[in-house]
Amino acid sequence: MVRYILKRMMYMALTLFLIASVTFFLMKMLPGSPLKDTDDLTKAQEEMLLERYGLNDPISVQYAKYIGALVQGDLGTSFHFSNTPVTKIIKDRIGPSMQLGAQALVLGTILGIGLGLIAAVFHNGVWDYTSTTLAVLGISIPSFVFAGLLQWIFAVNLGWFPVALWGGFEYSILPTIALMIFPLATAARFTRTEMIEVLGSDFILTARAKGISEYAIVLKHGLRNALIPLITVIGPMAASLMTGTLVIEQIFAIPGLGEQFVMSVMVNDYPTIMGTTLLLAFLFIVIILVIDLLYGLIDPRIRVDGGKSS
Amino acid sequence: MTAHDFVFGWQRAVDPETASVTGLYTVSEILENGTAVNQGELPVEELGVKADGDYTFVVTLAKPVPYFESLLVTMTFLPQNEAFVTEHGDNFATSADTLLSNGPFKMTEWESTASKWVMEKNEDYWDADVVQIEKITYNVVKDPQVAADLYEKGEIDRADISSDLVDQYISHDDFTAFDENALFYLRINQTRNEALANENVRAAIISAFDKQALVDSILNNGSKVSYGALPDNYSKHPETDEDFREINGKLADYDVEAAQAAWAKGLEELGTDKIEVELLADDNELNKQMTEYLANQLQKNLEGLAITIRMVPFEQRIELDKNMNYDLEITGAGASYLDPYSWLNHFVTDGGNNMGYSSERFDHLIDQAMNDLAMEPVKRFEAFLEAEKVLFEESAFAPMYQRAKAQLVSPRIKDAYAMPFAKDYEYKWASVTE
Repeated sequence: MVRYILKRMMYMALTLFLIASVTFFLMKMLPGSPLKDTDDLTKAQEEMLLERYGLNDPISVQYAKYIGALVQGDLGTSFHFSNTPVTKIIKDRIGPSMQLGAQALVLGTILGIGLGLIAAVFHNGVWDYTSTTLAVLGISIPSFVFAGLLQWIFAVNLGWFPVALWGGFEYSILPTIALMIFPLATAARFTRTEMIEVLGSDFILTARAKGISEYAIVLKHGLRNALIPLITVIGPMAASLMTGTLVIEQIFAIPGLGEQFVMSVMVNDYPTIMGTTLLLAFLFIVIILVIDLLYGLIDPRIRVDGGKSS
Repeated sequence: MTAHDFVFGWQRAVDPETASVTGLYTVSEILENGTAVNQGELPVEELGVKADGDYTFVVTLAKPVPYFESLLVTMTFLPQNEAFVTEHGDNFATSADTLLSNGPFKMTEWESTASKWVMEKNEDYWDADVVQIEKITYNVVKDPQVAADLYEKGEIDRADISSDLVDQYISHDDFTAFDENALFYLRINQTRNEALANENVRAAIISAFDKQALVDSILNNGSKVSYGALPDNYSKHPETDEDFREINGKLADYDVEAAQAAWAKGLEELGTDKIEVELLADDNELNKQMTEYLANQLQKNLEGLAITIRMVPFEQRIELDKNMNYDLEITGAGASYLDPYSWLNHFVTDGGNNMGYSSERFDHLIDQAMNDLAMEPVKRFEAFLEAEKVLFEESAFAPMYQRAKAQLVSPRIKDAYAMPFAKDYEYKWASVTE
């Protein structure tokens, strides 16, 4: 097990390195200058700044310097946010994104599984159609429409929640609901499909024949088997939910990371682009590792160290 | 605060190491040895500023500068405390903790990554007794509809209203619109597309689109048609007090017949019946409509003209603009001080007009106004009037509109003034009534 994890971590480092390299070269192909206020800068000033930030060096030298700093954990300093280190940008901005992402993920998954279970148990009944319709709506309505509607109904008209901005917990409720609709619908869909299949299989029939309660059959024997594909899709979703979403952040005026990321690409802020991309990649890889380990826990038939389990 | 803070602040602005974007055009140009210091030929100590004791600041100008007083309110000319600036080095003014202020308010909460900041009354301000506002909070809200909703809920006291929301709020009691110090115009690059080097072709483009309809239907926020290089109510005749714009009148107006006549002449001179040009603009919602409108108007009124629209992110447009890699471009300009020169300076040869415009007549008039006539206000004003006329006799660019800002402003806020340049608002005398 430990050997497996160590091996995986080596691969993770390699993956991160590859992502860093590819992003670096792709980013250098972005058109436009990375400097701010270029319309007011003179040629001489522009030269001086490019020199200062090492942007006049050959690409290979810039690349070597970047990777060198990266290995030491230095993500560089943003060109656009007044000398702010990229680590600080991430640190200052990730809080709201993480909170919203985690709330949406947990709540969305739990409710989604519940909805999926109801649909599967009452297969082809009214409950099934209701929950399937909800899931389809959740997947197909774009989040900006849904977020806008929520805001308009519950904040502007009913006044139950704050319209926008970021403060205490009450400010996070509407954005969480808006953000959770996609994991919820996804979880519901997968749970339903898997549960219908599992509930129709032979071992469930055996369990029923043995007289085990319907409750135990559904939750203990059925759900556990249905969770595998669900984790496969929810995991990667977690990485993107936690690093912030531009649309939700703009609609609710939340100081999150998603907006910062998009903005950094728009203005060619190289260090910030790299920093946020690597953060997303890192979260992604870690989550995939966690998922692989979870498989073993949920389904003993899957063992990470090649069947030598004891 | 002492005179030394001014000496240090001004020297720092001109110092080439600072790479100030405003230093070069304002401080260096007017101070003794300014340009030489800015180009690194002389040390900063040679700049024409010195402290005579702690409380007298002596400035030596390179030449008479009639608009000097209005320059002093711009941020480049504010004092800086040397010990404080040196202590914070690269982090100076990057957060509320690393900046100093001696104005009516001080920043108490701000980070470079923040979307919210707070200013509070500065008890040490020399005129603190007249300052009534205790605290001002700013929130960044990118979606204008959300800002309006926050306003309606009473969460904020002022919200900007974008063009698409104006119809919805124009009858609101708190709706106001004011002219901004920003003129938008069509740059015509004479260096890339052979056809645009032709004066008649440029003249045709300048007068072939209906600006009133553009302002009424697309902008719809109180913006006004602009007819020259200076807006209304910016500069007054030193003796008669008549407005600059009123005296020179409409130098570039919508006139299809004149446009078509010039167009026919231009085509003949070029020996062609088809001209293709590219229209460059920032990639935003407003420009989607604006570029479509312009292309439609120009193509409809000028037969044989084909326009390709190219919309790119801001940073990329600036690069294309600087490299003069465009044909037509929607761009804006503002003034930094109270003088016609602030609007006209970039049209001089190599003054950064980025469209290859160069005119001996224009250059000469500006040179006269800035040097020989510097001490003769009336003649100087007349030279500027003449210079603006030259721009349009030579069909340099196409004025479009002066932007207005539409807002919802709470009636309980009194005496908060929007400023024409240097800063957005002045809150020193502002108050809140309940």
